[in-house]
Amino acid sequence: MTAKFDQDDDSVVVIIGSGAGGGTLANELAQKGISSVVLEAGGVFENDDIENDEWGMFLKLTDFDKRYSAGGWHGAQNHPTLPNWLVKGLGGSTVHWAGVSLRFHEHEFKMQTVNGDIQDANMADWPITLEELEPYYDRAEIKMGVTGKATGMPHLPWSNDFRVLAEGARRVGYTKIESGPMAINSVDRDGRPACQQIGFCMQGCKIGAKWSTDITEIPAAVETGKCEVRTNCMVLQIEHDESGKATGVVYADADGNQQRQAARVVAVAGNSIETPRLLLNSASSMFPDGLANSSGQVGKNYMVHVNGGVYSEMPERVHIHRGTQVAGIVADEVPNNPERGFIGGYHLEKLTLGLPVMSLFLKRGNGAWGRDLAQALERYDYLSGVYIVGEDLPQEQNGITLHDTEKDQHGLPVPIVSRTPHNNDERMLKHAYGVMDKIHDAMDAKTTHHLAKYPASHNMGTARMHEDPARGVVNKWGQTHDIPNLFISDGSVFTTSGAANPTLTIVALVIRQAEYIAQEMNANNI
Amino acid sequence: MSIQTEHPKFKKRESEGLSRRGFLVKSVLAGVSATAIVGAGNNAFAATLNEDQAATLLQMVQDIFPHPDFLPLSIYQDVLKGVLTEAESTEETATLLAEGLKDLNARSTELHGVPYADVDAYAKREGLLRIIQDGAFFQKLRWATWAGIYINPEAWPQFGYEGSSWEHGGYIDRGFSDATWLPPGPTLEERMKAVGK
Repeated sequence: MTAKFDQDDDSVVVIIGSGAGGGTLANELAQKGISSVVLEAGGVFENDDIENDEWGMFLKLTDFDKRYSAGGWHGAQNHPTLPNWLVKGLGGSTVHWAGVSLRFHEHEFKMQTVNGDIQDANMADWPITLEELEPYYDRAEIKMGVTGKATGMPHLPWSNDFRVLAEGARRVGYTKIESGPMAINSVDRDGRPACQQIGFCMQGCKIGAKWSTDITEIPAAVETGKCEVRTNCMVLQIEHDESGKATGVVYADADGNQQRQAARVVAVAGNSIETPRLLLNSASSMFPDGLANSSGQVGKNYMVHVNGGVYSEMPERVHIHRGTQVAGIVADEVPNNPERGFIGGYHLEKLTLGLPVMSLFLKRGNGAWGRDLAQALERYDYLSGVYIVGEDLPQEQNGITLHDTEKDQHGLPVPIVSRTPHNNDERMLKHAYGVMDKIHDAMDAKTTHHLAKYPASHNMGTARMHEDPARGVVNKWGQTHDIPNLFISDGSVFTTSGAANPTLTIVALVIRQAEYIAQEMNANNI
Repeated sequence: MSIQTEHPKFKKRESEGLSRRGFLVKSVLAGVSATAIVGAGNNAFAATLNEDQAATLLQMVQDIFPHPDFLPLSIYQDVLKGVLTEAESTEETATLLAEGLKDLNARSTELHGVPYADVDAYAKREGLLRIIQDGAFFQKLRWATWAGIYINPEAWPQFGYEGSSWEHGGYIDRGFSDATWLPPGPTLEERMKAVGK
């Protein structure tokens, strides 16, 4: 049953975005009988649109809306208009995520308490603990179909590429080596088939073995008759009344015409670039610095994970492209151990890059050509490697600001995305490169390549959660401190980044948030 | 000090001289309409393009992503053909190429006494291209060559990259874990046990 809500209907929850946060929130609310209108800026990717074509899908899926890279990372020069690799479309970035579903560790919720103040970092504890979130992690894993104990689904079988990493890790003494947890079915489950080791997980799963909201949460929400999804609808502004309560949103429809949708509650889930941008663009005479920004923290503390890659030529063929892209994780370096010269930890995740992306990422920038690169690529079939995912410290200087003059297709200032690595980040990355060198050396690697940071797919922190309204944008429910009926429902709320890929935590937080929204609506508090 | 790192195959061809290398581009030029070669109308590039220039472009695209013993020449000829075809209909591209070649050859003559395509060592030619690598002329050719090789399914088999797999049922029964030089991963029973089953 497809719901259709009147634009003046102010009983609905308006959800902005349909990815891990928005899509999940829509379904959670729908299952509780709460009506919502989901406004998705992008269109719909049908199964026919999903191809095993790395470059073609990059062009098809990627959000190419104008934004600029800035700050002290190499991407300001080498990826000037692609600071992030995100998807604009139904399902958001769950269409291209790889499925890694790691939980945060206990210390990662209280990095300030554990490590004290860190110079040049805006450290803070989360207002919640692992213990509080654990039941929601369980529910998230069951909902998403994550391999592991909560579902009883075994982790995926090991590919050649992971067997290289696993054996190298074992030889240097590591023990936390597993092919999960992944939100990819290892057996038929919940109406979706088991993984066939197709590869191309990040180009959209052709058979739907991987959880993404466009094929799970959104259809389930719509099925209840409590959720209307409007695609190609870009929200331009959140409106409020004289009491400072959110009243609805203004959006541009598929034809570019401005529309309004009234709301009882507004939940923003546009990812960590578009969410703060929308809050800033919604500035009014009552909120001159942007909505929910009395702390001044909207758009700040932007984190992307310490990341990079290490690929080595192995003595025998690996066929790195065969099988799931990231089913293989080494977790020994995750604990907080300042004796290594940095705080926080990191994961090593086996990562397939197809030839097209390998040829773009092995070296970067205008100088990425020449015989050395060509010869390295001739050994493509012998390459094995990882993606490094480490804790990135929050810094006020890293964030999203609005361009002074340049406007997007809707007349709104384009975002400038600024990243400058903290010294802690650089030390961690150096350590991780060193560890991978040892692992690959232990496998008799012939040559090793260190890959610089990628355009960010893990975007966090720009509307952070903090107990103190002066130091954060939202409380422990993702409710903005300033506007009780305005919620943030994506990775923007992360207080610190942890070393875990963010999706599972976003989903767990949103399941918990949905309970709170329902409770507060029932109590007429919002 | 001269660093000799050149591949023998390249050396042989270089010794033949630029004009004689024209045969490598003849088939490419044959595929582009005659106006682009002999010059007609007010197409600035058409009037200036000759076999030597096409041969220089072919040398450039081979130098940008060199795979001398690995990929057939036809891959590079196709890149050149694409660029020339665009130049035929786009004056901006034609001008970019003509002026870029003129500049490159001037730099080459100044540094090495001969035009680019006659410079005898890869390291020297690479050095010349490194000087101009931030310019639009070079980047145009770099991206054209990149696309002609690394996103070109015709070139993929040589790299061992197998492309689309879903229509073949993925790799679950086609070697995703076939390496015999590595210890095997855990069995299904072991993986089940690990999650408490």
